Amino acid sequence: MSPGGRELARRLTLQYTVASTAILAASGLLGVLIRLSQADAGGRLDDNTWYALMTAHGLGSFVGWGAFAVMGLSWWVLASIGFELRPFGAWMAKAALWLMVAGVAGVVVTTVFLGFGGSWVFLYPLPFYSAGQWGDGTTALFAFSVLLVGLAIVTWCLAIVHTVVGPALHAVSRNPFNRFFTAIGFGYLWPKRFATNPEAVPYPLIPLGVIGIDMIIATLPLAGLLVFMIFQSFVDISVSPLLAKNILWWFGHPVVYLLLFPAVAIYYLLIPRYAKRPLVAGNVVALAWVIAVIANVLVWAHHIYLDFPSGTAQAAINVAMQPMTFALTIPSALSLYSLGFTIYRSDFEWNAASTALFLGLVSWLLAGLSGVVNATIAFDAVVHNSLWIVGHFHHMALLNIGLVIFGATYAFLPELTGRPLWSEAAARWHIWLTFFAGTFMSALWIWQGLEGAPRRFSVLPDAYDDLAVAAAPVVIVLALAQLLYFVNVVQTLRGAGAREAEATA
Amino acid sequence: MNSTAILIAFAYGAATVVSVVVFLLLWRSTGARRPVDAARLARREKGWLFVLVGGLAALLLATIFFTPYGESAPPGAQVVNVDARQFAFAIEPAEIKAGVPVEFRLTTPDVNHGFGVYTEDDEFVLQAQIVPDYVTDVVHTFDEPGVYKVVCLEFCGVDHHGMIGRFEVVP
Repeated sequence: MSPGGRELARRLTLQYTVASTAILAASGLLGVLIRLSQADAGGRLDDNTWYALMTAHGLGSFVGWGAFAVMGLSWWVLASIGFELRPFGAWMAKAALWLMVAGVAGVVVTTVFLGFGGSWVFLYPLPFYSAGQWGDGTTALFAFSVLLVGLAIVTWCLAIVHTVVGPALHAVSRNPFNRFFTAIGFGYLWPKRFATNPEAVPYPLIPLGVIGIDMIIATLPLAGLLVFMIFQSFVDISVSPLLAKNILWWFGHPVVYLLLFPAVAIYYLLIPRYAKRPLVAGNVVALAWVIAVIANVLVWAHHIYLDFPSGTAQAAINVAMQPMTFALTIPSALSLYSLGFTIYRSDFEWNAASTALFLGLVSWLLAGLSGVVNATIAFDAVVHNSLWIVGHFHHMALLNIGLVIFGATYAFLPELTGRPLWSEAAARWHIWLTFFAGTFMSALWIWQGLEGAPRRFSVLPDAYDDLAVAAAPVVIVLALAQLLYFVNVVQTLRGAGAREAEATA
Repeated sequence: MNSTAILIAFAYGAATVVSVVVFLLLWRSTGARRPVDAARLARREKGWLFVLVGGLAALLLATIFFTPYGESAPPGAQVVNVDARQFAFAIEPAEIKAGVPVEFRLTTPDVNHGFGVYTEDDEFVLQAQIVPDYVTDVVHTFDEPGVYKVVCLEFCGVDHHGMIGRFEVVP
């Protein structure tokens, strides 16, 4: 890899990391505010403010932090396995950065300042039925902001797809399609047709290639819906709400994997490094990713299992989605097997970064199991739109993906800055506090959901007050733990660790 | 707690305990520097795949026949029209006979809503989504007389949490 290519990846990763960390600080604070308000700890926000902050928190944390952070870390993963951004990819990567920043800024303005409270899924046609809380112009601006976020995702995907088929692939074929399928692991299954020479495809490349193509397929229809909504803000047109719901979730499920698959690439890179042995993986791992690239864009309707209007095919689509969704658990289950046995009886190096990754694996399994409940129609009929779902996705997003982001940041920052981490001890405290407080917080939601507590309620029914109040101190501990992270990142970037090491010497 | 919720709680609780034990054993195994046959473990991944596919297939077969779809009201069923709109339910008639199947016909003129039925003690009974421009039919038989709450379970705007209706099941 050329020094210039490495420097470009370094700079991009740092820029994405700094921007997404700032978004985490803002959106995390909003999450604390709405959770404390729900518990009536120190007063309640007015209803529309609560829903507007919920919208900002959801989009900010999930896409503005989770997705954006792993998108950035992916550049360093690619650099670490020798894949260099070429000019087109570099342009796309830079465009994705600024489109994401602009999109998130627009979401903040339209929610926090203009009162758009349609929730992060902005279920059509709700943005046009605001009950007097915001105007159609605000809806247009919100839709435009989300469109920018969508374009950020597409441009990032183009950069990824362009990079994974680059010269470092060592694919024998020059055909771009063959090279792409080689990059997503087909060579492990059909070594003659998708041959590489001399090196096999590095495992971290596979999930990045898969999500690169899937998110292009998933995002474009949503972009069309958003453009339609912008027009509808000014002219009298409309679209079928059921179709809009399907389009939303056509994007809404794969976007979860926009967080997960790059996180898996990080696991594939770093767990073998800390275990000091190659990834324990058979060819079936490649089979799992073949399943993933197809199933990921064919499971959208499991988010709308309880939509079954008469005279439509929706119920039949929903039934077909259950086995498809079950199939999509296979890449996760096989990856957990590979990563687990890579750690098993190894001389594993335990530090803050590797601990975060290990605890992330624990959460991946536990959140995955609660996901199987959601994926099962008979069970979803009970937990759908309850706080169980909120517990499930916080468990997955904060305690699997989030811990991977924290672990990768602690692992990569010294490489990116050329300076040691400011405080390994603070990093360890941060990881353990986040794991315990976050798990407890998710468990409370899961329990409330089983008791029937509805989600997206600014004020919960009285029956669920006790656990909402119990969660308040846990949320504060979780928030305070993140201060350790912010200070550590800022101090490391400032070179404080290096200066202290020099002073000690 | 609803009986299905109790089943989920036990199953998820048991799976959580097993998972935590597995990870504790994995954690304890590190640092031992005892060599493992990585190639053999990689080959065994195929066996894990078969176990996995078998388990998922069993879960699919055990649950797929319990979907809430396609149940049609038998002759003599009661019909209750539920019109949901920001931020109230109009339920007509609001009195239902216990032990007799009832077909709820769910409609909305504005945005997506949820039709969540709870007992007066907040125990969950059933739910379905109400989509604008469509009619959704849900059939259920109430065995227990009493007042039931209808809660909106799809976010519908600023007073979503206040959108609660009621009907009564009589002997």
